[in-house]
Amino acid sequence: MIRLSLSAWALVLVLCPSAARAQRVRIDVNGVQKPIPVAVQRFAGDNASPTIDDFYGSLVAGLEYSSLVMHVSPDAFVEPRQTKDFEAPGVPCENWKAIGAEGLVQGELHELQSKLQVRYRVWDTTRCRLLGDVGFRERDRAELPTLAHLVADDIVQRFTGRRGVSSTEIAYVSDNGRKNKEIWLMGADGSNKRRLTNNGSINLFPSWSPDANTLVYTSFKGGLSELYLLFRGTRPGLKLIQTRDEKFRGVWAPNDGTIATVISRQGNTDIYTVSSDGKNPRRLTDDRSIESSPSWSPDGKKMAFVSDRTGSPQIFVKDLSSGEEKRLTYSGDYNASPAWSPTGEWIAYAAQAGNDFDIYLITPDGSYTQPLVTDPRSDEDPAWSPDGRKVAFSSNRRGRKEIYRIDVNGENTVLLTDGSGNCTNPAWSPWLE
Amino acid sequence: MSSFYVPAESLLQSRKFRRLLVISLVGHISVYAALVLRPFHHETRFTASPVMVDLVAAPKLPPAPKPPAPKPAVKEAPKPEPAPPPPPLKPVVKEIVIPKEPQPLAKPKPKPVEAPPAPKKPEPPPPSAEELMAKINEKVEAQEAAKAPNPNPTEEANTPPLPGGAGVFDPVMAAWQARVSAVVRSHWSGASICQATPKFDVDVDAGGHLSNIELSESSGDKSCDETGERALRMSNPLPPPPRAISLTLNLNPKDNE
Repeated sequence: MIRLSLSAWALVLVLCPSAARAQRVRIDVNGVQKPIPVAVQRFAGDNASPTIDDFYGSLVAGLEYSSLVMHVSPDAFVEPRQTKDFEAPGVPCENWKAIGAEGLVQGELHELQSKLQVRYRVWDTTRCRLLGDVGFRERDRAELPTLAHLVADDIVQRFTGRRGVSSTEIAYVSDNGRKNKEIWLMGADGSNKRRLTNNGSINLFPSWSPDANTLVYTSFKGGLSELYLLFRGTRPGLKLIQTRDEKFRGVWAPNDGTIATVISRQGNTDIYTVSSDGKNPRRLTDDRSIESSPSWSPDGKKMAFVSDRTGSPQIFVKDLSSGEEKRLTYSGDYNASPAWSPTGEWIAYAAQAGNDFDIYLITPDGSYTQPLVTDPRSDEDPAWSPDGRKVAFSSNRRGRKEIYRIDVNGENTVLLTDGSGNCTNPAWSPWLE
Repeated sequence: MSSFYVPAESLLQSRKFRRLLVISLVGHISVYAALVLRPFHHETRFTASPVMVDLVAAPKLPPAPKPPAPKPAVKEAPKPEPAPPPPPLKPVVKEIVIPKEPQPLAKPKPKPVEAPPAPKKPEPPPPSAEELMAKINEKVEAQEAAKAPNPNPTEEANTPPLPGGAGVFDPVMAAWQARVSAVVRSHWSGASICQATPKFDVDVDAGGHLSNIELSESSGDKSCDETGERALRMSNPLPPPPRAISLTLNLNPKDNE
């Protein structure tokens, strides 16, 4: 009976093509990690100027930094390597598609006095659709890499929906081979390292304001542990809180001027919040044990922190509106340095394994944990990139502690510091503009 | 003396003697018959048991249950002891066959010897799906190598009368689907962007050209959805399908393979 009915089916399909056409078949495609191929033409401008090549190099590097977009080699181009007619209403999409490019970037770059001006277009060559037509952006000539990275991050956003982070910065602590520890700053790719503090003391735990213009950090330069503010473009040294209690760490809230601080008052260490001028202190935790390492959820409504109230340091989460506190980690004797991802989906933390630490990711409800960095040596201090796709951390895998970054899928570990000292406490900046 | 001597003629004529003779003959015959019949019964029993063993051995069943089966049969065999020896054999065979493996008995039919003019294969020996797919892949690859995308769509569309309905395995279509999946996968860069699965409906003509690309179910992320559409457009044209067809493509960000 079954065979008969199937034959009848087949007969219908043969005799009636429209029936066959109407048939719908499902195909599942399982993805693999693969960047989007985008062709980048050198921008139009003064061909003799090395600026064009420098800009192209930085732009391509900024795209590759994302791990999500890769540039198609100009050797494969059928079309010119440099933008010829920027004002043209369209581009020969088929010629770009034919070399495997799903996108095209073209633009022009002008140098006026000491300023660079750039404008560019981003095309989806598969649909032959303009994704972006961006007017002039301007920067000082000296900031060429930053300008190129800003353009690259914007292009990444147009293809992936989330802005790239090549133009962001990472603050960190380095002893530079000496006994003191200073706050340093570098580009997200490890370029342009410069020292921010120079007080010869111990300076620790930098944390960025949401606008990326101010850092709060801990310093022992006055003898006691105090919190200081460091404004971009000014000399450091403004003390945040004037009380005589010891303050160990300040962490800026993501959406307002509130700063979570760890304060030791009458021998009891708890977490408080203060406003950005150091006033209006408010106690968040109240326990005889030690509470420290606060990390805000991206909406500022919850906070992860470390407490030894159960006998060993573990990660907890506090709901700031209800006051409810919930223990998050249960495995391991020592879990510390929680860092809530900007997307809200993970909390990264350092978990002790033997004498060393590994970095793990756990969902904020504690339902799922997965390892992120499990090098045989110690990996600590996780800090999220603002897009939530990368994590910076310190590791002593090469002997001295250095700063690395890794993609959140566990791939592309890259060393960012140069081994000139022990480097710890990375703090990834928000987007600069 | 003479009274002891009786001539044979007179004896044969005597009634008494004839009666005795008949009785003696009957007695002898019956003894003889008894002797003859007795060994015959033995032979029946002996032949019956090998028959049972053969029948039981044919079916491929777990060896353990077999031995017990013949025993009850042997016991039953002697039961139907009725007069004629031949009939009891048949019931014995029936009883042994019934218990477990009726189907295996049917198998021996594929007589390899029987090779008369048989244009029709009695029962199409089930062609393994792998063999079919391998053949199809060879065909498709040969086509691609020759770069002759067979400009005869209608013929191709009619060739394989393949019902691809739900629950029916269609090896030709399955091979093509696998190829399409691989092609789209090679162009899809959304795995590291997408959190959910975008689904697309698309029509494919006999030459593999795509039309009516529609996002039937969004992933909830516009950029992710766009990676899917770009992958489809970059994959256009697909390998020529067995016939014009409509597809639903699910782009899973996680590699399940």
